[in-house]
Amino acid sequence: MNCLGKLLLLVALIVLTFSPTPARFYKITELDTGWTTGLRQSLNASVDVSGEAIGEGKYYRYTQMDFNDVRMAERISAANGTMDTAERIRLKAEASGTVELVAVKNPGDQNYTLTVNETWPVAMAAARRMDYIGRGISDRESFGNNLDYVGASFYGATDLKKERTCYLELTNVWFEAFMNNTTKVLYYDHFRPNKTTEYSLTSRSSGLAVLSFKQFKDRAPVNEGEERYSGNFSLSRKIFLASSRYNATDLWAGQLECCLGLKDRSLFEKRVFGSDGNCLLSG
Amino acid sequence: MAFMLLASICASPAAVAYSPDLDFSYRLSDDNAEAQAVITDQDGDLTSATFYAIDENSSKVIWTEYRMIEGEKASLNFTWPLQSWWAGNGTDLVGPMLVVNTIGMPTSEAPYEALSAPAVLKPYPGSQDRTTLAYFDQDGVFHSLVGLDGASYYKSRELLGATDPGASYGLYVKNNLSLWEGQTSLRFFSLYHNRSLSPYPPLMLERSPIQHFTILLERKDAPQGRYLLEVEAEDSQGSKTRKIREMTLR
Repeated sequence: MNCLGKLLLLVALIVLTFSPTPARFYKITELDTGWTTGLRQSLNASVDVSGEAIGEGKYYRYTQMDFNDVRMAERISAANGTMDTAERIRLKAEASGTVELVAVKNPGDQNYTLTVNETWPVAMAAARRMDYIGRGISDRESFGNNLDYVGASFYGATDLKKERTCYLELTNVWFEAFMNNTTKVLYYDHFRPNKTTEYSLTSRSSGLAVLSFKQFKDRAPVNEGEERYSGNFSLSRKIFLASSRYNATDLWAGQLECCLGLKDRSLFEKRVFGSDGNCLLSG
Repeated sequence: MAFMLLASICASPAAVAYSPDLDFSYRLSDDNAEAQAVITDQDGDLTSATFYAIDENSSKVIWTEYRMIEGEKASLNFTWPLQSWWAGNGTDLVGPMLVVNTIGMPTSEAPYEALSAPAVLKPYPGSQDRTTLAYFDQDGVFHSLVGLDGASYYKSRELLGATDPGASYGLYVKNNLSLWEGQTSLRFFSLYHNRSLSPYPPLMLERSPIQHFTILLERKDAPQGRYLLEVEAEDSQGSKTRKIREMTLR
């Protein structure tokens, strides 16, 4: 018990809750070894963005979202041309769940196992189509999910047609560190989010097209790829990245995904802007 | 007017007295074949004349030119640029296909409806086919799709701006268009010498209406071979007279 008390003295734990809003964050650091969870932050939030545009002229777009490291970023800059675009982004985040910190000392030595189990789920579904012909467009997008990421970029395209859907889900995150607080050695550092990333892209473009993705186990990359296409290409890509600590309860299994109809790519307009039935985030 | 020509092409000539008389000759140069026709009619009720260039090997009409005439006599020059019309959607290309110049369109619309082509519209898989006329400008850009019943299925941004200045194209697309990218298709036709029509495989509308669905007419040089040049005259009673000349393209 004394040892546990000693360890806890070395752990800085910050959990702040803002009363008027449900935003929460924490950062747990073990000061001897320097092990840390990093800053984790989320809030109870829903996002539903939809719209469409058609016309002639210039176009610029900046999008940045980050909910508990479930991220989306877009940068689009289009010179004079004709464009038809439509999108829908839906997101739900909950930060009312628990963050459990447990420290266990090995009998007979100064080795400790420190675990943090965070249950702040986030789900995001984003769909977008774009049809551009003009003097040139640069279109970059990336989706991140607790270190994993996937994205596509188009540069200098005078002709670009693309349809993209992406579904990101984070159910919970589990940290585990095994350390010795005398020698200050960190034996292992596990970072195991229960996360899913499903990305689908169909495009036809001139110029340069780049697709890339990277998947992490703990904090090390284990799977990555990059493709570059220069010229006129039609692309069709689906990228699925998933990892889990254990058979975690899939809180929103398939419910948000169905909103965008990722299973049926043939009716893009309908699935994005039509009725979405029993969608989790509707209402 | 395009409707009239389509009906004219598809109808059988009626056998009545005082059919128009016509004669024509042609002159072939490196760039074109020019036909000079003289048409007379005792009734003095001439209505139209049409020029056809026909590939003798396939019997397909690869070029037409339609003229409205009136009175007892008309002297006409028809010019064939030794090319044929094809239609593409950015992926597939079909042709040579039936394309007809239009006459008598409203001034504001005329630049966008210089050429017309009959087409079968299938709005979505499993839906009922609709017979339409597709209109193009002189560069072959797709600007309009009109049903034979007069229903308008599509107007380009440029055409809408000409016919309804100030109208929002976005609202027009949202409220009026029922053509779906990746779902809607058009089948254009080839016209044979015996005036029968044969549809080509469907061209899918793959792009946005603001990109004119990327349906585009293209001209392709006619290959070497034997061709028939035909001039057909018609009067108000529907009587038709045809004359044909043979031509070899080397």
